[in-house]
Order: sequence, then C-alpha cells, then structure tokens
Amino acid sequence: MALPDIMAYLPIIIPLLILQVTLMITALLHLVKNERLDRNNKIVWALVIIFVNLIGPILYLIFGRKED
Amino acid sequence: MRGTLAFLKKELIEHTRNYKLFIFFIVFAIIGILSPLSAKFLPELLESLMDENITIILQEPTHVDSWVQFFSNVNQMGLVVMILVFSPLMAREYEKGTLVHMVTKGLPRLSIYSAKLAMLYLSWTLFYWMSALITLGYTYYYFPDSSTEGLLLATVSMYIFGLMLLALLLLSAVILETTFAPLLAVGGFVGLLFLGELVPVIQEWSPLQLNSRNAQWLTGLEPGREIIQSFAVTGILTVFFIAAGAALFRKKAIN
Repeated sequence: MALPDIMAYLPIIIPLLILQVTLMITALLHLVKNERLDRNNKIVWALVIIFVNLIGPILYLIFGRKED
Repeated sequence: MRGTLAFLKKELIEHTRNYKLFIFFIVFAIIGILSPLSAKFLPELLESLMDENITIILQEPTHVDSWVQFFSNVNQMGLVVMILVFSPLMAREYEKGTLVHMVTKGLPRLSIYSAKLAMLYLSWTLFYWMSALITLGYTYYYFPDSSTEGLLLATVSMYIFGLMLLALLLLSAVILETTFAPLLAVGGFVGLLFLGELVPVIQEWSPLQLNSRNAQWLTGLEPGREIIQSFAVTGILTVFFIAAGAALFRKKAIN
C-alpha cells in the first residue's frame, strides 16, 4: 500500500491502537500487583495479555483476577 | 425509590472497580471504530493480496457496508461480551450472601431487582449508542456521500433486541443461581430463535428480525408489516421477562 493511503487511515488507526494499548497496560498493571497468582501463572497470563490481541486482556480482567 | 438509587450506586461503584465498565467501554469503542475501518479497508486488502492475473470485481464500499460490519460486530462481540460479563450478576450475591443483610435491614427486594435491571440497561444504552455514534462519525468521514435513510430503525431495532436479551439474562440469573447458567440460557434462547427461522410463520413474528435485517433497511427496503409484529413480540417478551423475574425474586429464598 502506498504511503498516502496509510496517511488516510491514520485518523482511525491511531484511536484503535490507543484503546488496545490502554487495555493491555491496564491488564498488565493489574497483573503485576496481583498477589493471588503465583509466579508461573503470572508469566502465562502476561503472555496471553500481550500476544492474544484484544481478547487476552479481557479474559484476564474477567477470569484471571481471582479477586472475589 | 431511595433504596433503588442507593443499590444502583453500589452496583456502579462495584462494576467500576472490577473493570467491567472499563471492558465495555473499550470493547464498544473498538466496535465503533473497527466497523467503518474494515468496510473501507477489506476491499483494498483483498486487492493487494490478489494475484495480478486474477481480477475480481469488487464493488466500491459504501456506508451500508460500514453499518453491516457494525451490526455483525455488535452481535458477535458486543452482546456476547455484555452477556458474558453480566452473567454472574446474581450468582455472586447469592453465593456470598450479601443480599441477606440488606433484605433483613429492610431494603425492599423490588429495589434490588430494579437496581440490577437499571444497571444492565444503563450499560447497554450508554455503550451501544456510544459505539453507534462513533461508527456514524467515521462513516461520514470516510463515506461523505452516505445517507441516513433507515438508520434510525436499524439501530433502534438492534437496541430493543439487546434490551430483551438482557431482561432474559436477569430472569435466568434470578432463577438459576449459578455463574454461567444464565449465559447458557440466553444462548439457548437465541439458538431457539434461529431454529424458528426455519418455519415461515414463526419467522414472521420472530424477534430475530430486529437483529438480522438491519442492513436491508439501510439499502432502502421499506419495512413491512412483519417488522411491527416483530417489535410487538419483542416488547411483550421483554415485559414478560422483567415481570416474571421480579415476581420470582420476591419469593426467592435468599440465604
């Protein structure tokens, strides 16, 4: 794809990236502070959060927190 | 009324702290952004992947494609995430026995029930329309000659369909007491609706029309009599689910 094409998509791609990164960082920050998970679990969740796009952080925030 | 508001406030704080509202915000915002993007982007992507010797004729995408993407994303992502996240909403209270204190201190059960319902409907209303507005904005930006013909009917019918599913979710959450059984109940109900599509008589009256025919109205198809039938059935079912849930919750043994 030519460069001008990419420029045309920037106004829509940048907010999308910001949302995804916000979600990922929120989940990671929560994971680091989470004391209910042991080290191995944390590593697995970190991989899921980082590499499973969009669904990964959501899965962690719904099922992985073990808070209540 | 005061009890309802107080309980609703508690629900709002709880759902903010356990990230549920945050998840909805992100998911629905992404749906709103992704729909126009994929409508605009997919044909170009296909073209660039194609071999030069093969030519496929792709129609220039229009605003209708953007909304088609929006409705399928709301169906497959938005509603699924919302029902999944809200599925444990009664089970957790039953399990931890948190309702006992409030009921014995004199908070009417109807207040609890209506606060739960208000929480569901507030979230759906807020995030669904936020998502629709984002899609509307980007659709105008990328398809400047787009019209809004039929748009109101298409978006409102999807919204009403969501209201019905959430009422059913609350009813099954009151009855079933477990974390994910309400999710299965709603899934089973939608499955039944799809089965009903095979029978023409049921299809004509089926609430499913509200979430599957949205795109047709955008292309200028006049909504016929069956859409009024569909709205009526959906409305009756919604009221029935809400009333049944309230009646059952009043008699429910809480321990």
